[in-house]
Amino acid sequence: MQIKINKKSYQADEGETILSACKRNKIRIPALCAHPNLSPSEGVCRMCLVETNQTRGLVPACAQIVSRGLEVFTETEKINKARKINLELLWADHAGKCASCRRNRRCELQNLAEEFKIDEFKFVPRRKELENKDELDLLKDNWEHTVLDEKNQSIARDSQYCIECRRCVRICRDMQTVEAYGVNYRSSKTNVGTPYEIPLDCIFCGQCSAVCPTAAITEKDDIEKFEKVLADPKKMVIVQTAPSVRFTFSEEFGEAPGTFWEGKLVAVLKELGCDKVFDTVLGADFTIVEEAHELIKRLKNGGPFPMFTSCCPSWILYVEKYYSQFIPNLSSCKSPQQMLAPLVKTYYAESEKINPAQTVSVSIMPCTSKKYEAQRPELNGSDHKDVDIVLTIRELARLLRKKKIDPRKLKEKKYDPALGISTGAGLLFAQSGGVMEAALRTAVEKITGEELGKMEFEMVRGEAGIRCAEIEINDLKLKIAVVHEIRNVKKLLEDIKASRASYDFVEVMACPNGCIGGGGQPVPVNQNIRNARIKGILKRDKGMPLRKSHENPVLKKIYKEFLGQPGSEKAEELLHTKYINRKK
Amino acid sequence: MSLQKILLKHEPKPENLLKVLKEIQKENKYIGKKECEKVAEYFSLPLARVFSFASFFDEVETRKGGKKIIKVCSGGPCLMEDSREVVRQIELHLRIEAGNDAHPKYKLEFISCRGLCDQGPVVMVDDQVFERVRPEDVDDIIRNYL
Repeated sequence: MQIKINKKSYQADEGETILSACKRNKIRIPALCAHPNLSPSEGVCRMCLVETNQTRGLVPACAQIVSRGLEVFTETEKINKARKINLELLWADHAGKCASCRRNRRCELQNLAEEFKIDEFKFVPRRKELENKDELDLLKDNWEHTVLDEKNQSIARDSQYCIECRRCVRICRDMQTVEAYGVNYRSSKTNVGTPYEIPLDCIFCGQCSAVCPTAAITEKDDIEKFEKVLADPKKMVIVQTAPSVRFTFSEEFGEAPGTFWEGKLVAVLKELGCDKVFDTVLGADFTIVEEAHELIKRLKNGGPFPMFTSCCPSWILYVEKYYSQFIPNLSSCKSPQQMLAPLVKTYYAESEKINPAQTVSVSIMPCTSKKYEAQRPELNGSDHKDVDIVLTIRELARLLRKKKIDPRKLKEKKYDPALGISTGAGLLFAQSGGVMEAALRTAVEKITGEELGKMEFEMVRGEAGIRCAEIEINDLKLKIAVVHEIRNVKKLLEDIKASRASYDFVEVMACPNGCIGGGGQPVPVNQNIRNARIKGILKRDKGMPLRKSHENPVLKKIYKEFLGQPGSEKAEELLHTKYINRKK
Repeated sequence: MSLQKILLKHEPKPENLLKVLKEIQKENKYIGKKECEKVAEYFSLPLARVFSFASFFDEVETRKGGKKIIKVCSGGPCLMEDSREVVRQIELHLRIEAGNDAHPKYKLEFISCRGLCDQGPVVMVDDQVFERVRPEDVDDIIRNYL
């Protein structure tokens, strides 16, 4: 269908909104509540107002469906005035503490406020401008419903920054089906938060913090803890970095998504004063070898099937809280972070003759849920706390900006070789389908005993929410599935429960497209950015000299010197775990 | 009537949710977390959705009050009939302030429209509805119903 936007003709699809038609044709319309991951939009922020020839007043472009003969104007005086007033109203209910805000310079509201030059406070007077007592009461009333939540380990909430765009409510309800947030109370007392203001009780995937346009929902800030251990001369700070953050770190400093910044990441960590920088990809390789071993064991013993991967802590928590009958199906392997960390405090400390009590294990992650995972006592393999501090990549970038360290000016460095050699298979963990592909590379070779010819398993790649395939290994038929986003996971679990589908091996990631779409990744994010990140990963995997986990020389060495073989008693103790039924 | 009985009286359909909440409110004075969880489970809805639904309505209390709540309609027609003066009278009589939680026994609140616009101004004491309240009636209501 042809529509006219600003007097030019464009093609639009039946049933799409004005906003999506404009976006495709690169016509910018500001929006605070519409988000590409979330549809349909509720049209609450009123920033995307446009004029059309078919309506009398202004209409929100994010909710108005295109129709035949439509003419849209996106920039007129009337529109700009309305947008500015709406923005002033939103600003009036916002804390406006930009200088101390975690999202300073990365805030969608701040960007728009700058664009529309919001410097007058028409709706809420400042302290010296107060004229009578009523105005003070109004001001008090505004802040009455502030809710702070710092009680959980992963996600911090501060509702004085909230502009009630409802993105968090929608992503939690529609994408993750957890629905931890709701829009509570009404009119001026409206407050987005948890029921009865209980501490957040969810799967801590952090998608709400990734879509929040302001700093109302952010990752819990652990920078202070990190700075403290860096300043302590008695502590040896050992850092590990997740597979995905090396592809997204650059975005925080204005580079294109998918830029490979592994060397820079190591360099900035060394610059900050970390003693050793290790690679979580090695942990991923351990996960693969152990998981492949477990899969082969289950194939021999006849189950239980399907076997689910266990790298995603949000997914684990989801099973424990909502689908506890599937707990035996979870692989007992720990996640890469929790595999590398005990090795640091046992194997590495022993071989270097360091007292593990004096080491501090820090990990740089794309994920808010990892903060929660590090707190789980049953995951500790060594006698100490395996992972002491978890920082998301956003926090690391914030710390660097605070210390005025510019990674672009630093020379690339390499990981410390003791636990820093990685393979392409481990790198694939960063995206949805990667764990499956890496596991297949190892499992197929282990089962057949022959070297793998073609290393790519294209059937597990792609964007679809649930991707199924059947793989033949000799006379063995393996039914596999790759799922991401909890709404798809729920569908799959219901199908399995009702015996509509059966699988042998299923990879699950809670976030869209896996860890590269993680809750702690740089913002803003959309499908195009995630696709660019995936491209970077696949390109890097292709260029790696080692592409199979079991060929990692460091891994082989540690098995020979320390762990014995996959599935041995020591490996069981350090690299495997048990799950707890947390159903209420 | 116990919570369980109220729940079982109604089918777990979304359209019954408000009815159930109001009935529980009658028994229990307010919808606490425990009750809310039970309702959510019975209707197979997430707790957050039930709470945001319940907290939306002035009719449903989600916080333990234990106070007599006096509600005065702040809808347009009632304001036209000078409900503001009625509020002022109540404030004077009881020495409380509308919207303020400080008084140990009473709480005065503005509510949105009851649908009794032709009978305004409307004042409610707990569940009792008073229509066409004149400022001079306030003394009477307070003496007899509080």
